[in-house]
Amino acid sequence: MPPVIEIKGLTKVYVQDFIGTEHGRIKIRLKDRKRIALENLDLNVEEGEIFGLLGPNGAGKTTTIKILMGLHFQSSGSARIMGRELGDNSVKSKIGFLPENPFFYDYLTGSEFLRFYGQLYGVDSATLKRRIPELLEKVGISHAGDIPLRGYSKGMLQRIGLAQSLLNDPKLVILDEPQSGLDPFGRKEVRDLILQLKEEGKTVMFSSHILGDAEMICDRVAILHKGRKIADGPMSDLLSTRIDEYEVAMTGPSDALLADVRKTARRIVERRSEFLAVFDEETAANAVARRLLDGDGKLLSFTPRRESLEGYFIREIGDKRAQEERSPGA
Amino acid sequence: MSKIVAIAFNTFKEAVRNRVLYVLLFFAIIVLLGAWVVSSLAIFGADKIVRDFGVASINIISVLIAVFVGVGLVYNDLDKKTIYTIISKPISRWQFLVGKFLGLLLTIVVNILFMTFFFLAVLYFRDYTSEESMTSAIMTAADGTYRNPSGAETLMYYVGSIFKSLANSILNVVSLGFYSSEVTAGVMRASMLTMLEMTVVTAFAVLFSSFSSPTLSAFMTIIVFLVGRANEDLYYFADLIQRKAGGVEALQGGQALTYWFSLAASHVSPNLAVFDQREAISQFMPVEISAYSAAYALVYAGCVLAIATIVFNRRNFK
Repeated sequence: MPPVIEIKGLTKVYVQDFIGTEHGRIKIRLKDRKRIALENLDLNVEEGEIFGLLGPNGAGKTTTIKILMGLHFQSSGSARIMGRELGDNSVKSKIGFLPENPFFYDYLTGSEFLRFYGQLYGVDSATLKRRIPELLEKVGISHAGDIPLRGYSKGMLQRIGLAQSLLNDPKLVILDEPQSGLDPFGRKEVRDLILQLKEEGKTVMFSSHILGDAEMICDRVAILHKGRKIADGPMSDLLSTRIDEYEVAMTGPSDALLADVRKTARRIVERRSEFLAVFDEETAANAVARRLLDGDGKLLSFTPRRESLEGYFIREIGDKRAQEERSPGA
Repeated sequence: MSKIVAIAFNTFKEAVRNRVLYVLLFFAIIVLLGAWVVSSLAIFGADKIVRDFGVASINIISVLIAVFVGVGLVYNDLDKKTIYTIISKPISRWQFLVGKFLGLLLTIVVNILFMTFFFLAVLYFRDYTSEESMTSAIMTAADGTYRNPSGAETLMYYVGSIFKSLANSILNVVSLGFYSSEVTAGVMRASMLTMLEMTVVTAFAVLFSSFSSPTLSAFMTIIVFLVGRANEDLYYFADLIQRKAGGVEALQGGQALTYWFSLAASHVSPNLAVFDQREAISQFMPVEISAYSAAYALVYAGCVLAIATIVFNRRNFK
């Protein structure tokens, strides 16, 4: 079985304009106009796996994905999807794609939007009529099908973006930072959705700059840094086992327990009847989980989370410049 | 094909939900009503002024729609990155451009029909309410004896005229001018020529907005329109310079520059004078839509879109 995505020696060099802006000021560049976004990347994604493309901001993740989707053209090297050249319409019809921070036509309602994109995929209207409500349900916004997208929150846009990437029942799903801008519950739901896609036999490739998002679900990852691949393989081989924080999700905790959680947890997020508490100390997290299991409420999940990718870089590479690249909010 | 149609209808929806379009249409209504006001100031030839004014207004407002609604359409998709999710679908870049073009053209055609309808309504209403026709109508109603109409009679007459004008203009637009007199049919045909002209202008708007910012695209599209309108004049101008100097070889310095520039501009720009029938309209001559002008519009627009596709195919979407 050939790999679903096969990337060989992929390189992308951007040539900046003579006149451009930098930090809001006009800047004229006469030399050093070349910027290497991706250097000699080799990568294979096998059928049926969840593949994580990881790296801090500016590592070349989005560039790789844009080239794969035919939005950018590589400077050299080659890439094939399902054995075909990039940009081949017969291949594109088997791919679902969600870009980073997607923006859609905000004058369309959720259902109108999905119908339009379905037409672009060439899905017939009978199938669309059936699939659109299903997909809205799947991503958890079935109540918002008749609302124009300009009334959507960021999380809802991300969800409808996921829905549009599944319209054609794709074999390969490529998601660029699918969890960015989502709250902890949203992140968990995206994780669950990706796992569900794998169960349905689809191949998933997604990018992230947060290791925690990737480590629980990825079969394999590649780590990019400044346009170069610095590691790939199963995640557990690549990272230390150092755990930074513990996430406990619960529902219906007793008032006494909730008061204690508020005291010991670093932060706590509430949504509807669910609570998500983040602990620094394993013992505190374990104590809460134990009380929940003893009937003081209901334990939904217990997640130890590893250090962020930035932390990994700072520690492993010891590159001071990596610190400067640390993204805000990561 | 169905994908192009999907993009075209979505573009139409986008344009229809764009505020700029309504500002322009409101402006069009004011200007077309203004034609009536201007004509009442004329001592003679009021009919000529109204028709001239109306046909020219429809033409110019169509250009403004093509420019100000059109140039933003492709650019917005690039700027807001909606293009990412469209180009990643099984659709080619040329299909996207052609869809955008057709959607914009549909918007303009619908707007030209609306403006023509409104203008014809103004024309008919003006005929119905002219002093003679009012007096004669009231006289017939009053058994041939003359008397001043009462306020209520005048009001009823006006209301009736409004309905008659609307009905007439609807029939005229729907029948594409075949229903009515030669003069009003001429207005209808002039509008159809404007649609053909807009086919060319819209193609340019799409071409420019596929590689530059909306402001620059708007500017360049307007330049193309103006130079295109002056196309034949530029050619004759170049010819005149050359003949005055006694041959191309005798041209010197600035003269030579003017000659070559005018000649090049007249060859490169579209000859939009083909679609200009305002003279015929104002002279009450029949307006003709020739197969040549239709073919010219389609072939020219096709070529411009082909160039746009070549440019667009090489782009990295940032």
